[in-house]
Amino acid sequence: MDIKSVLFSGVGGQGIILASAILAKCAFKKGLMVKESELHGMAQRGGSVVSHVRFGNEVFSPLIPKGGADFLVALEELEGLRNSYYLKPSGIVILSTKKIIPQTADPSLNPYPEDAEKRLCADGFQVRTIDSFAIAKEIGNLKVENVILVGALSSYLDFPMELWEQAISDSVPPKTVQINIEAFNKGREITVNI
Amino acid sequence: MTNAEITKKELLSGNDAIGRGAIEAGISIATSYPGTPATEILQYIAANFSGKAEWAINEKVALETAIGASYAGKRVICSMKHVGLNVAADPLMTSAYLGIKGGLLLVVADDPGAYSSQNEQDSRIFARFANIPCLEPADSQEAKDMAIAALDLSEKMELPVMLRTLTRVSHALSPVSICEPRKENSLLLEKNPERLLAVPSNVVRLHKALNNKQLELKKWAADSGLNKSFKTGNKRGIIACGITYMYARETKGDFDFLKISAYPFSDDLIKDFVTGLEEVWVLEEGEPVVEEIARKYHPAIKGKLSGHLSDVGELGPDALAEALGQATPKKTVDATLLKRPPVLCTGCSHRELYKSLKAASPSFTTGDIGCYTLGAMPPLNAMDTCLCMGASISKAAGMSQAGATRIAAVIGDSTFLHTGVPALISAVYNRANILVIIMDNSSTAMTGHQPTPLTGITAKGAEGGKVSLEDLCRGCGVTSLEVIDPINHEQTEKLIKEKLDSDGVNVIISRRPCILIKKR
Repeated sequence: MDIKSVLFSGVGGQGIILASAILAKCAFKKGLMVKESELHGMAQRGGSVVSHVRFGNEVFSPLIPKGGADFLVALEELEGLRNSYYLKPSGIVILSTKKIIPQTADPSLNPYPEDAEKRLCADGFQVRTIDSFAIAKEIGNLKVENVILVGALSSYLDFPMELWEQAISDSVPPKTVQINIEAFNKGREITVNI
Repeated sequence: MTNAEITKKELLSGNDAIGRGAIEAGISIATSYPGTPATEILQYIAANFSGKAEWAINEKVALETAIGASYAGKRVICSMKHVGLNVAADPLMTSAYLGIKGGLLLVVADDPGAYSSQNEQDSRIFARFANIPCLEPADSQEAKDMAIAALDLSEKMELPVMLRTLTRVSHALSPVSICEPRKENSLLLEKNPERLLAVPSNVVRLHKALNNKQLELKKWAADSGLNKSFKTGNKRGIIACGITYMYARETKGDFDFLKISAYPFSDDLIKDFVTGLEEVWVLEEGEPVVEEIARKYHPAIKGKLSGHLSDVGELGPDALAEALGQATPKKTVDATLLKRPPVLCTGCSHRELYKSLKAASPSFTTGDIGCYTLGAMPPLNAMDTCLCMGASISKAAGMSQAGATRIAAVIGDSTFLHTGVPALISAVYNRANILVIIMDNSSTAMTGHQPTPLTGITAKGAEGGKVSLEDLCRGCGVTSLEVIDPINHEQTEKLIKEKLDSDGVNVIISRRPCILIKKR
């Protein structure tokens, strides 16, 4: 298969690295070449975070070239907007409707954008919004928003459910495997009829 | 020597793969000091290897410990971030003269783009400076294979060998074949004063011996197959070092490729490749090390020196495509969007200290390297300079000696142990008038909460020796020592004001564990 590139974006602490690791492991279990690239350390403390995942029969660069992403999985609206330049024309955005106001922001100077979905659509991207916070609340664990979005992404990819489940089991603490699989399934249900 | 059969494939980061390679190559000991993007190398070894894995107090001590283990005949890995090698430069430079016994793998992780660092220095230049070989992997499998090759080469040539990784290799996952580890070397501690003593009567002779090894190193590089030429008769060629080969391979158009992974190499490698090509690009993260050589053999070399590529920042996957005019995206990042820089965590004890420090308004605050450096950013703006590990105290002392008053130095507990202690002694000895605030959060937090000697827990989670910060400061002869909890703002502010106006080297330990440890 040709290279598929998925960019995860969000805020440090939202579980971007875990979400991208689940996808990378799933593609690896499928027998594909996989590369995933992330940042640690200073780059992570509550700031903007991205993680790149690429898979296919042959993958060289661990980083997605600008304008080369098939999917953008955004755990936060502003971070979705910020990284949309990575997408191919008419690329797909899985957009959490979560808003996290930057701590250092002065809203009088530069307000938080209220129209992320509209702007992304205007740029020609296919946007699928998901209220991951509400779903996580319903499930009873606010830490699973990242996995809900991975579930929503999964409908677009040709990996069997058992591989996803294995990838989740390999990535999360043993006690939370069931709740994470539940979160994944909730996300998957939303996009399954696409 | 070949390793046992492949047992399985795993998806590993470059750092984990380096750790895995070292284990498979039969190391007995691993040493390191935490620093992004190198930290996980030692953590992988500590978690997956039954032998010794140590956090040293700084990179110099880490490398010297590794050299000692090598003299005892054992194979050893020593890992650090690029700026850590500045601290370890002293043992490195002369250990190349003296040579080593058991294989010594020195892993240095560069950070082009300075995502988590104070500069962008290129460690390949350090390898050239020290006259030691350097290998540069492009993905996790290569990282593992080259860690093993480096240890073999090190033992064969009796030289430390550098493995230069960088953020995009260290923190990128790709598949790696896992093999059985080899047996460790047996202990063999032999005296050899003519070789192991760096004294004037030996040095020039040892320098000559080191120079004489260079030809053999170039021959090794040629025979190793690590520098690969792919000539298919194109008019344009790309010389690509390490990770940039991966970027080059995804560039549109027909190119011949020369992939460089082993230094030093014979100039013939470049000369043969560029011959007959009309246009040659040189891709390398860091300084134009290879481009400088290539310019001797071709009139149309395009790279950083020629101005076709940026000579600062990270090249990444887009630099060549953009230089070739191929860049497809109509859009770039929207600069008008609200920025989200990294910040101190909610509930961080450093913030509490900074509030009191600001209220006490020192004339200047010298800072150091760690999470607390974020206190320099708005809205706190509580730090006026940050240079390198341990420099807060020495810079404050220098300001005091220059005649400035009410100077504060802020330094974390791990940084203080790293290089702050000699600076404190020097300030006491020379009668500087400064306030030193040691922000003790009981952890090396920025790099992922590694334990320190103040916790008495080792890299493997075992009980180690424990050092008392109070006793250490008192032993340095400080004028006064107070311990406060920064949550008590009133008391803290009053104390800081008092000490800023006092003579001598006054130390306040601001103690409150990192909020992220508390949450666990």
